[in-house]
Amino acid sequence: MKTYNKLMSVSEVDFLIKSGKILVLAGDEIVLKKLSKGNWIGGTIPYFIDEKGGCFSQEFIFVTDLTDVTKEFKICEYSSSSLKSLVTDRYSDGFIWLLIPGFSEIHQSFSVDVYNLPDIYDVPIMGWVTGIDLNQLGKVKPKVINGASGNFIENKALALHVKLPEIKYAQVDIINLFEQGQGDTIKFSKGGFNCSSCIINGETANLAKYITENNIDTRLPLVADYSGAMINISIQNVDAIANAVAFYAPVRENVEYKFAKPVNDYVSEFTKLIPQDTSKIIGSCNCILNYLYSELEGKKTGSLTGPITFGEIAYVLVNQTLVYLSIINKMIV
Amino acid sequence: MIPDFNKFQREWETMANGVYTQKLSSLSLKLKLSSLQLALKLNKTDIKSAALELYDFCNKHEALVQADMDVVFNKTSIRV
Repeated sequence: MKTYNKLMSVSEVDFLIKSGKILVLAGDEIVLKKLSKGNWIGGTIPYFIDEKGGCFSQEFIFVTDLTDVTKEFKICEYSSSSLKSLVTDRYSDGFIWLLIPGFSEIHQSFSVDVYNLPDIYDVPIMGWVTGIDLNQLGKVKPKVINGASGNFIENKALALHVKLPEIKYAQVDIINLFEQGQGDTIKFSKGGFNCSSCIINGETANLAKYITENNIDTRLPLVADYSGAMINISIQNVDAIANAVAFYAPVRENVEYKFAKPVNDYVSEFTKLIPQDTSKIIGSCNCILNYLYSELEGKKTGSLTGPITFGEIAYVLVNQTLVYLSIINKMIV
Repeated sequence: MIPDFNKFQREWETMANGVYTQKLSSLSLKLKLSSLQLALKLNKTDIKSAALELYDFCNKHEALVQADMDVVFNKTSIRV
């Protein structure tokens, strides 16, 4: 199994496209517009972790080549209203690589509705939320690109459905440095990307006031323990005047959250959690907040490379988490 | 192999409290188990349906959760 998983020039990527390779591409919108049509999906983002470390580039494109693991594939677009087709379109013996434009309606609806899609955990979903140069926030919209049509899309999710050879299966996993701290238990009576009131240790409270009064470091996410899987919700903004908190992913009704324990040294802690054998990993992505808060520019995160994204998808939307996809040979008994 | 739902019912809570689930390696199984937990909490399913769904999930994804099946079924005596 040979997969590219690295930054490449436009001409190098275009050569792969014209060779019929099946690719997932990440890059700035300007460079992605220079590419030929072909068997690829792409998302806008100019931040990466390459083999040399974290970097910003509006010149290079991050390439994940899935050709060698793909038996069949199809590229499908999903609006909020057609999202339920994600599970009916998929190959049962494969995986989905999903790209979602950041700050879009489908970004919001996917992150809420995915939990209600039937049998959503039956087929691995790996993916990420597209983004932009942080200096362009509010001026440019993140996009996904259907390489087959050449369309740049602002409000649809784009899926590369991949069917694997019979001897292989896919596995999505996460590396999350954050775990629940020892503090108060926070619940929400209503899910969503924003909240004012919440329930702290069984008592109704205002989360913005709680954060301010307790001087909580909002670089630390809220963490839910999903049967041993730590799933983060990152804080986007605390409005002390409106007493409201905005999140980068929706909090869920009746799920118990705690603020995370602090992480002292992201790179060294992260390195400890990287699987010993990374030979089966064919792609990964990490969060822009990890990149910013842990100052990853120029720093390596082990052998795992990929785009730095505005949200990560490991079946569901996660924050401040590295997601990776492995392709593994089935054991023949 | 037929799931023993009486045993499952007694041991579900222990398992779900994380005594066993912390040992699971599969993210999909953790998320599946957690979704069933939430559905139980919200009375959207009953223990028998949840157990059957989990059993079906593990059987359907034997390759993916092979190591975890020992934890879920054997160590909790759910397989009879």
